[in-house]
Amino acid sequence: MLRDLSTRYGGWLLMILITAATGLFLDDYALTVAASTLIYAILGLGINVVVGYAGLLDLGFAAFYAIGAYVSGLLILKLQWDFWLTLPAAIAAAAVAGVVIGYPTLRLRSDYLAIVTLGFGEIIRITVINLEVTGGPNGLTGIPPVSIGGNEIVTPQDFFYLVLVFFVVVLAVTGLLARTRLAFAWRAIKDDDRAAEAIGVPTRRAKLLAYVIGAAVGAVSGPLSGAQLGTVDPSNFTFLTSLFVLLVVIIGGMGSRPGVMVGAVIVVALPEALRSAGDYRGLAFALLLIFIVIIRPQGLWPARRRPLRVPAETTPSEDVEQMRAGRLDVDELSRSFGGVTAVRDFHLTLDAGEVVSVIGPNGAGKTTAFNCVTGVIEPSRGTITLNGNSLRGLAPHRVAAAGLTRTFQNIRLFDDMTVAENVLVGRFAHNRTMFRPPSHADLDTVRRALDFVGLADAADRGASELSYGDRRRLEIARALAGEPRVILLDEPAAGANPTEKHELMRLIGRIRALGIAVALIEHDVSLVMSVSDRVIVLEYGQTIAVGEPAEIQRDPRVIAAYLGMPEDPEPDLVAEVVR
Amino acid sequence: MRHVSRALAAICIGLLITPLAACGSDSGGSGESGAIKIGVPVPLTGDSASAGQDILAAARVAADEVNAAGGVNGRKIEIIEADDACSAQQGAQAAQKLLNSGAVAIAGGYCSGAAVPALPIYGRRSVPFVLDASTNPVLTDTGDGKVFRTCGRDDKQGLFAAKFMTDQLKAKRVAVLHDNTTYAKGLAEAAANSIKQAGAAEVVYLDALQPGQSDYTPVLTKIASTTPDVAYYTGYFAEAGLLLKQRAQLGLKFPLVGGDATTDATVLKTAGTAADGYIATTAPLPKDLPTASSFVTSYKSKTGADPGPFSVYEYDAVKVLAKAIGDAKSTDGAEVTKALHAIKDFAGVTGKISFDQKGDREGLLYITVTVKNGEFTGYKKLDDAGTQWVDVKPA
Repeated sequence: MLRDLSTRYGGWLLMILITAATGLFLDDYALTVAASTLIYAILGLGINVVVGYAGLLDLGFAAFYAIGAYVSGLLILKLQWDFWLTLPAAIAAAAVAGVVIGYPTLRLRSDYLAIVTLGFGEIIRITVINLEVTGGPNGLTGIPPVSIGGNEIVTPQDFFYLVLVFFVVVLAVTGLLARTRLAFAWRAIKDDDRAAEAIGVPTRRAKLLAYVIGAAVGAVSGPLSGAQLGTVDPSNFTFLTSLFVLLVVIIGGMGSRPGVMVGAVIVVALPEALRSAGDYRGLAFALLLIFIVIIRPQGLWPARRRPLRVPAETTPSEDVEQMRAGRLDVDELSRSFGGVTAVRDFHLTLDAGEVVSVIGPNGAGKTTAFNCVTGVIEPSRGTITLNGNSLRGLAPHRVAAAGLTRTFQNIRLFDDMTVAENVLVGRFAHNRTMFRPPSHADLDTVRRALDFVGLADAADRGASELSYGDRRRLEIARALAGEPRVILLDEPAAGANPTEKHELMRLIGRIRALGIAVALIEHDVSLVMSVSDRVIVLEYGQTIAVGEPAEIQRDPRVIAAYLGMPEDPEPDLVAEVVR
Repeated sequence: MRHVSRALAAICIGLLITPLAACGSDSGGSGESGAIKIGVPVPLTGDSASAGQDILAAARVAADEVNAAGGVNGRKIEIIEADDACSAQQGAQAAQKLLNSGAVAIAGGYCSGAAVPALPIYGRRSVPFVLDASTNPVLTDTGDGKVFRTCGRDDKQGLFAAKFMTDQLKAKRVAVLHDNTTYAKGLAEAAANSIKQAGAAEVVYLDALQPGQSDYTPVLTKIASTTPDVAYYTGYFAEAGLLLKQRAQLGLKFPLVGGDATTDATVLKTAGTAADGYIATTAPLPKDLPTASSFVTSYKSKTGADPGPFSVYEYDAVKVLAKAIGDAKSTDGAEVTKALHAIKDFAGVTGKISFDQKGDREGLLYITVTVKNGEFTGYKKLDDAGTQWVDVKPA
């Protein structure tokens, strides 16, 4: 255990001890620079949550720095609060600001989000410049030094150690955060937020949490800066500050905590070291930054993640073996886009252990019907119930939580995550808990799902490294990890070779054997006919036939629309046009 | 292996920090022998770098003159500089750097924002700081008597402007406009308060414009609606030029008086003939000071350029510090501070220098300038007694 701890945390401990020891040898000037570097590193850890973990570009992060500094400064100066009491207040204020900026903007795509955050940063700065209580453009002056047990922290050395303690605490907190399920949700969102939502990740909540936690972490630097300088100067919180904070993460490596430390040193301490270059300092700094970005586009110390510890053997557990039974009823489902009716009066009943296929030519409305059922798009009309509970109007992640998960026509895996991690994200459909590490049950299920589709050996490989067929199977494993009642497979055999198709057929049979209801969209007629209990045929949004595979194969309308007429007029037409 | 690479990183970070330590810790002659070091914190990078270079050059001219005359207490004076980059963060770092290098007194500064966090750092070591350019009242108000200035302070300029507008221009209704920057807002409020306290006139308008825009006609129309006898604009030159031009276009008749951040040639370029007769309150420039002619000559011969607006104040700051160190016969901060307070009517190039209890310079050293024949020329100032308005005579 001790050995385990030392290999896991020894590096950090050594790093902190060396930094602490360096403090003994530095002079006041270097200590002041070092303290500023640590303050930036804390800011960097904050923005790392938002940008590095959750992938939400924030160009106004200095706003949270400002809120922390002003709230603490004002409470100290106007209400004579103690520095230590103002800390939770500053953090809370920034967290509230995180909600204020986060909530209305979460629907925006990332580039628009960047503009909104940029505006937010400027709004905060302009507000404090114009308010009487914040001292207007003068800012706040006369902030007393921090005192601990009656001793004032005034020397640069004492202050350096104070900031170091803060940094270590923030480092530990963000370190713990990086191990939670929430961190996996963030990484999934960063990769593909729609896929994450569809397989059960409450993406809006996770994004909002990223803002709130990032803001709260970043806000810690505000009171520290106020205590260091004895003043809160609004010119410290400009757009340039936001850019430099962002630069800390870009230079260091997105999502990488040691990277943030390196980035802070580069952004804050390096310009100081370059002072000897005099007039050419800015040029030298800029060239160095460009050089770093060219040489190491992923950052100087990119995030390297510990592989997920998937158990070697699964512990048998009854409730997982016995998948939850479910019955899906879709009735009179319609969806129009403007004047075009993509799906009209779609009907589907699906019982536990059944396989129902939906076939039809491209553009027949199959995927639209699936998207309506899974909550991705709102149906114009109709009812969708699972075991009698309506799913209509639910957000996709709630549909997934109700027991209906899916795969996608064009594979949507989280390519920056490993195979096992992809499957783990699928667990959110079963359990939305965020603030704890993946549980044994989670990891057990991941193992079982990987075993089930035959990808257990590839658990620690990157999802993007898999072959096409394996990627399809991984998507199915991910959908199964949520322990669904119903699974919707959207063209799982597309692009597969005959062997892979054969395996897929067997896999679908085994899923059905678990008692899960399977809805399948597929073009491959032989596959559909061999696995399905019933087949629904769509054309131009209309259901033209429903029945057992044998009936469908004989249905003349189906043959005309889809399976192909014996004398197909189209090739002649094509030939004519070509000629 | 991971912890090994982390340790490597820690060492790398250590290596990055070490040069900082090395370049900061050459604190040789801070004792009682060797050169007496006077620190000059100014912006040497960023937008205000040229002002910083100018101030630094003036400090060197003053030090050279002192050294040529035998130095102070038999020791030479050495000027050491630090870049405060006009920011609070860098200001604190620059202060530590100067103290590390053994500075016994500080003369300089340009942006108030950079000076504010530096003051307590010098204060704790009892190192006196003579400001040459930072006119923000708060600096000496909170300076514990250890902060001095050879320049004026914004509220004194405000008082001066108020006197000028009500005495000389006979205004009864005054509009005051600023741009919400530290300096402009302070000056505007000081002017407005002085007018209110004197009771001779009324402040009919006090508000800010948004700097950086191109159309100020709404602001001007708003001001015109208050029918002022004069409007005082305390912001910067870019907006002043536009205000003058657009005031002429709107056909508004009230005269516009500006603060000392508007005496820039940009105003004349922007406003053209609309700038004729424009008046600004300002600290006297080297060319307005007959006493500064020898300084201007030696500055030019050393640098090949004309001295900038704050050069004379920095020159006086170094000179007055040399005098105080000589009087104190010591480089001890507390002794030098005491000697600075004891100085009476020291003959500087900007006039006679004495400090009040706070460390501010006594008297109203401001003048007004006006635009004549397409350039700023000296206009009116108060006589030595501070009662009569007399013409400013060029150097």
